[in-house]
Amino acid sequence: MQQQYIRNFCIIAHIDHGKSTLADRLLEQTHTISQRELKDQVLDDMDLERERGITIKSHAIRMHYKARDGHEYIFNLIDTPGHVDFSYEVSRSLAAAEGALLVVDAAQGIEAQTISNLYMAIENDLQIIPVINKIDLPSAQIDVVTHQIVELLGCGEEEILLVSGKTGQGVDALLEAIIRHIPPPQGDPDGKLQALIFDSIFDPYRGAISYIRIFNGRLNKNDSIRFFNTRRSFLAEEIGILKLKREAVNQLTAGEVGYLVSGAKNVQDTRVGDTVTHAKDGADQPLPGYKEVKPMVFSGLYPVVTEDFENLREALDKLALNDSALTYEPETSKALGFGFRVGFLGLLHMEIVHERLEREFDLSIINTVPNVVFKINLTNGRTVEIDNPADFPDPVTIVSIEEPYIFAQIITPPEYIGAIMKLSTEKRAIFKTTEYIDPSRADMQFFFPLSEVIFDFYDKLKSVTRGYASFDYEFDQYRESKMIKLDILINGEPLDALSTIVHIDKAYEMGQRLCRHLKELIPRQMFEVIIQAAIGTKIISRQTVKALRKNVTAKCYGGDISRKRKLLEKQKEGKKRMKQVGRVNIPQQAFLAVLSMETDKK
Amino acid sequence: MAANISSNPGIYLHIPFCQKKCPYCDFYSVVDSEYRDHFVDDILKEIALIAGSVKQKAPFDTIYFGGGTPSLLTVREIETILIALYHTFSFSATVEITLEANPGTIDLPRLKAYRQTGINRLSLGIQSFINRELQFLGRIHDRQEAIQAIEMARQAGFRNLSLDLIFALPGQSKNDWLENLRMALSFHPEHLSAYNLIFEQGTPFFNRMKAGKIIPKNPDDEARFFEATVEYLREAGFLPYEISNYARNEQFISRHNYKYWTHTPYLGLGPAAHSYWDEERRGNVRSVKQYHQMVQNRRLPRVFSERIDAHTREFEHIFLGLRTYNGIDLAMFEQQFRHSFLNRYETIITPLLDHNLAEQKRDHFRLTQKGLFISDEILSQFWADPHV
Ligand SMILES: Nc1nc2c(ncn2[C@@H]2O[C@H](COP(=O)(O)OP(=O)(O)O)[C@@H](O)[C@H]2O)c(=O)[nH]1
Ligand code: SF4
Repeated sequence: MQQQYIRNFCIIAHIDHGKSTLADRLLEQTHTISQRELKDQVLDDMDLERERGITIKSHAIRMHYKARDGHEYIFNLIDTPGHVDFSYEVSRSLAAAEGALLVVDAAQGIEAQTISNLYMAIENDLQIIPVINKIDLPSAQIDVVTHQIVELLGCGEEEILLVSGKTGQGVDALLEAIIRHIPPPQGDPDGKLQALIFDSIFDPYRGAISYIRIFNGRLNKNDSIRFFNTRRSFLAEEIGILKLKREAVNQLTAGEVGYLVSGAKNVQDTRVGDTVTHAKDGADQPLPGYKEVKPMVFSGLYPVVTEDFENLREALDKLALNDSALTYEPETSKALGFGFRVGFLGLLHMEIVHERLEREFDLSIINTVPNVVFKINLTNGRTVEIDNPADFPDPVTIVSIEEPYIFAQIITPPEYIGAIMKLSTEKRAIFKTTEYIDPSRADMQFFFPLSEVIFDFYDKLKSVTRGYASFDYEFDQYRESKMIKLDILINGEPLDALSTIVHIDKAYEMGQRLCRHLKELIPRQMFEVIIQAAIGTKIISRQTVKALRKNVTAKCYGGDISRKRKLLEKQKEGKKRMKQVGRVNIPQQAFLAVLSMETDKK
Repeated sequence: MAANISSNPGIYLHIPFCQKKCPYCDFYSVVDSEYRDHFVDDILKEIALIAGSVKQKAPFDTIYFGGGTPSLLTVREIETILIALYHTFSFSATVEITLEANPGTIDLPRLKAYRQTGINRLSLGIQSFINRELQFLGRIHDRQEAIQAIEMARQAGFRNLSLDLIFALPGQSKNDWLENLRMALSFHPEHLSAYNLIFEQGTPFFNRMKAGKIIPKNPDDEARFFEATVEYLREAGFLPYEISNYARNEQFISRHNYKYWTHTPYLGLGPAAHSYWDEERRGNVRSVKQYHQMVQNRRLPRVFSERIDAHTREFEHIFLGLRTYNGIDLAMFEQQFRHSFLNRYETIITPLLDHNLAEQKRDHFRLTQKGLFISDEILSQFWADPHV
């Protein structure tokens, strides 16, 4: 395989800017796939992702393109995930390519996420081909978007390609531009093997399947191989290239993109970003850029039905086969019994896991309030990291507390700058700068406490900017903050699963709002339910859910007792989704009350 | 004076015809039916059909004509049905025969003649003494006819008279309701039923509610009406013996209805009638036409039957028993189900006792008035899904 006829590239685009549609056109025009096979968007293949309209896991596909110069080229299109929770995985996909198409919706313009991924691509030395998509739209503002791109990339206007994924207009020119502008791979086919794992999936029949890009050397079927970072050795049982289906080959050489089945049982062994080399006579160094993905957000997951604990464990084991970012260990809660403390990349990741547990494993799950990892410096000189409010030490032993901050970028039309500043102040953000990308778009940069971002920040941002602003973040550093633990008591008993760690200035208001909101969420029951918020032993707020006064049908059922019985059975059935804590039935969503507080009308 | 409660079986007849359909009602009944003329013949057919399979262990001691509007049946028709029953089954000498009557369908001679057939208990669907409310409910009678009906019933010789009333109508004030109760009591009835207006799915009221045209009272207000009812009738010396039923004393408990709450067998005849017989719950077809066709073709008009297993039976026993003033007889429970009620359900019962929602009186466990108001909430807890 001659490297000069290979082009490896990604597409960088904001959600809905037309990445999938454009990818479909490329596949079609290179005859990789026929129109009929083109069941709408081929690159996203997980149900959940499709519903959310985001590609979470990256894949790749190989195309053959007969260029105007008469040569046949191999294109590897490497797909990238599209959400901030998964930015490390994006960076590894980008690292597997030499170039990227920057696709911008002609009617929407550039969004924050596009910019951060673009910067990541530039950091990885990718050649960028700017593309304005959806030029067929009547609302297309080609001039405005051209201007934005020129500002951003410092490129010439004439370098920008105008296409429509929908009509196919401009796609020919795009294919040629890929050959002209994106450099071919430059690795050494005779060097020692270095292959980058840019994605790993779990297949129930094959175990872990890794998507790899060979940088140097050759990988043959049945070679003994070694993963650098996990230090584990395996056999290259099957290698191949990625068409619509996997196609086995006997050799992959420098510059190529393909897959590897190695007998590794799960994706923990085949980590994204790791380097594959030969077990004997391997490379001395791994490829750069490997990071252990660390969960940023932690939450307790408990089965509503206590007996489901083992089922939950099995379900998490299964999910982890395919999700190396998921961490979990058993924990117990006084109120909820046995469950797991689970680490997530972010809130979206948490929601996805929760949904998959309920949908694919048919479990009813209580998700406790998510929190970040705090570093607590103690009077005895030690520092502890806590990911669970239940572990919060006795305040008299605390010298100081540090919390994680993120660096956040918000791109917005200028009229919302004021509202965003106000919201950011509420969220304890440290303002860094505002820059104008062009007169219609400002790039605002902040440092936010991560804990503030995980509580209702996205929704608020959306509402204050009517959806026009976009948001992107990455971890920055730990900073000292005055945090305290806020407890919720139900009928006088602390409900550990509802405790949160909050900033001292916000504790009072938070306690009040949380009690009010819980009052809305907890249905009236046979007995009065008293909800209190407390800091230490001090009660700062109290609400009462009055006892139910009437729930009876004073009606003549005649002799139709079956009907009455079924009504009662149904009523009981309805309670199944609630967790009984002491004598109080608490609905699932109450445990995430902190996240839904904004819907609480004051 | 012994309570009017028995363990003998009863017979229910569903008379599914009305002069006009009330917009809140979800009982099965039809207006102007072509099957009306065949009805008595159809009932006789059904009696004949089941006769062979009904093995009586004890004589029937109640017959209940319910509806619909049984007072649309002529005296002759009632007689014919009663005679057929007497010929087919065995009855106790003191059988209680109830007829539900609509005040808009009766006159004195007719009531006298009904009384002559042996009917000894009359249940009048008064619902309200306030014309505005009667109109809202779509009833065919007015206040004057309601009053006359009661007076005529007495004149006709009915010594056991029950009045039905409905409360918690939208816009009804507590005084309106108390005035209805006061009026009812002024006739010294032996029995009263007070029902909460319910918006049942499929009724015109339900649709109007969905469309926002009627706004039901909120549950807290309903609770206040309910409380007021119990208080008022208790003070007047009435015994609240079931969630919606009040008797002047134990002697005037509805012997038939009480069977429903004590797992006593009853046979239901007519379209949409339900039976509890041989440990089975059964239901007849809810259509006069199909009923007619089935019995004419010598087929049982039954479309539903369910064997009550021990588990379900126990749940029924609890939720039915706890609706009544007697509650659950603990010794009898243990004898029937081979375990102690108090032990088996301790985790449910203890909080109920603690919060004064239930009480234990000698060997009975029963709900307090406060508990009865939320009895659906309480009773559903006793259902333990056998599959868990
Ligand atoms: N008019 C027009 N619509 C397009 C074009 N490309 C994509 N779309 C539409 O834009 C929406 C988002 O496209 P999709 O490819 O799913 O975006 P992705 O989220 O970036 O993968 C869909 O409704 C597409 O039909 C285009 O070139 N012109
Ligand atoms: S008269 Fe009675 S059975 Fe007939 S429609 Fe009215 S409420 Fe229903």
